[in-house]
Amino acid sequence: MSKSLDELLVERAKRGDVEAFEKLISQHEKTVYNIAFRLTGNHEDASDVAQEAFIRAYSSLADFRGDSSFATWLYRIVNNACLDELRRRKRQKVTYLDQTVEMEDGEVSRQIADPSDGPEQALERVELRRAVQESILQLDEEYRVVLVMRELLGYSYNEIAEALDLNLGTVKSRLSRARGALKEKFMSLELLSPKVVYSPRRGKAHEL
Amino acid sequence: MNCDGVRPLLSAYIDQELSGGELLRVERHLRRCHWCAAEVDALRQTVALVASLDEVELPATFHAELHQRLISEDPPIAKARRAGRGRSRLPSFRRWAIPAAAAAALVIGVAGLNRLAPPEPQAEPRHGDTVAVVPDDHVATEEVPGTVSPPDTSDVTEQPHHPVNGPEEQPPSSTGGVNNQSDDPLTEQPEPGAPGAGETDLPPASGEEGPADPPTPLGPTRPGSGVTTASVSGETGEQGELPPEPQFSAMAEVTVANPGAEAEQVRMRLAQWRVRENGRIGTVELQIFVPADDFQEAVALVNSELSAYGAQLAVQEKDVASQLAETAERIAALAEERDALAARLEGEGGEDRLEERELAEQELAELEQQLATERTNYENLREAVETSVIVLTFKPQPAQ
Repeated sequence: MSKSLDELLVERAKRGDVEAFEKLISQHEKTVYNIAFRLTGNHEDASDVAQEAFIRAYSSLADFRGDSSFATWLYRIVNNACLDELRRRKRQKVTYLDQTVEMEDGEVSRQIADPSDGPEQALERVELRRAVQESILQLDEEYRVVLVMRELLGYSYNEIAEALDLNLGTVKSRLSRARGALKEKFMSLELLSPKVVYSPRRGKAHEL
Repeated sequence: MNCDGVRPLLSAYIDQELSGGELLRVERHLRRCHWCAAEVDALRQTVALVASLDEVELPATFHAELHQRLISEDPPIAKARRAGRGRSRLPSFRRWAIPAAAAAALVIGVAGLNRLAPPEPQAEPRHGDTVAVVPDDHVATEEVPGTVSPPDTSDVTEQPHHPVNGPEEQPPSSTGGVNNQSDDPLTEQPEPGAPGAGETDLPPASGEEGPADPPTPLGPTRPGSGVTTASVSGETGEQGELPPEPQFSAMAEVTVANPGAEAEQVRMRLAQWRVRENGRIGTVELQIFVPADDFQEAVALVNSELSAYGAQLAVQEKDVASQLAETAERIAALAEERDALAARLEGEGGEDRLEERELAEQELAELEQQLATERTNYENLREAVETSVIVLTFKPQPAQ
């Protein structure tokens, strides 16, 4: 879809043309829904959140000035809607990321199964997906959003920063912490098969 | 750089988002530190695992639901200012458009009841507002959902059903035979329409009317005893037109084995009103739009339907008034902006600023458009005052 067609649709949608709006979002709805699904973890909530996001986008369409692409603008709204919704519910367990980040010394020595015994063998495929999704849901939502945008949507750090109105450093550190926490989680579930396993001790020189 | 310094950078490292200097240092470290190299590997696997999640498909009902909600949003109140221009729907639909928009907000609230958040008691916090003249115990005995009586502190122009007329306060216990039907928000014009009334220190709260010996055992009363009334009166007072009465709505949630069938049954029985179905996943919502005059009758009838399910309507009031006031404010601001711009255009005759002038004229046209839209919104909101909404949510029984 060319940009000018987008613009045309935006104009029509602004004037209350619901069909134009639906056309406008048609190429984004799957992505939006997937964001919502990964953030909420179930279809019912995802459906609610995604619809809420679209409604919000629709009703604030007048604010869209075309400074950014429609997609960027839309995802920003979607993310905010998702975040609001998640905050409102606050029913997910919170992983205290600080703890996991502290675990730098020695914790990696956890025994991992034979590397040839890949994650696919450790768990059935479906179970694996479920475990991954569950682990994501245990992240605090601020971290979850950044992670989902990066890993599932492939956003650049700059794009995430823009969409969430964060500075670049915050994006970096949140993503780093989210991944660190997930990594710990995955390791405890024996989903990872690191190539090197040994047990460093704090105070030993890791630098050779 | 040691491990502690490197570790926080590894995430950005695998994304190639490190600055040149950082990148050099990290790479140098990784060549020598197997532990951090292993960490990089673990992070990469972590990322790959997350990325391996399959894309999910949209639920089959997603589009239909969204469409319904979008339609309900039309015209977007207070936001998409230009949306009103595109409204060329069937005239018969128009009457429902705004109530539907109001209902949409309500529906979200109902969804919240289902899963998200506990309902908030509505009237209680404002209880104090309502008792300016009416003793508490009288108020507490009120059982008249849908009834809002005027505050009586100003000239009430139309008050046909009050045995005691006049601007004075009416002792609630003495007004026994108030006909509830007539006390709907429309028939009465409380003070905000009256000049100056909004400036008084009395809140625009309605006093509760006397016990109205309800003809039928109406189910629930409004939460608490208070009457939630418009909290804003000054602005609309200046408009001098509209009673900022709250709009009533009621909702109930019913858990049944077969939501669709049960909802259909109730829908058929309530065919005298406009009933709209709003399906959500596993849940059917009926939105029943009734003229405000019929509200009590509707509540009673719906409650009798619901008795079979052991459910009852919870009646709430909606503050259409403040929405109205906000719209009025926006209209005033827009008009001011427009006038200022028009005056400026008038004053400028210089030909050397043609482009600027053109821009200003464009802006002026845009302002006019927004103004027109806001005025439409305002009118629609006024219409909303005439209509009340009852929402029934049929939820499936949780699986054993």
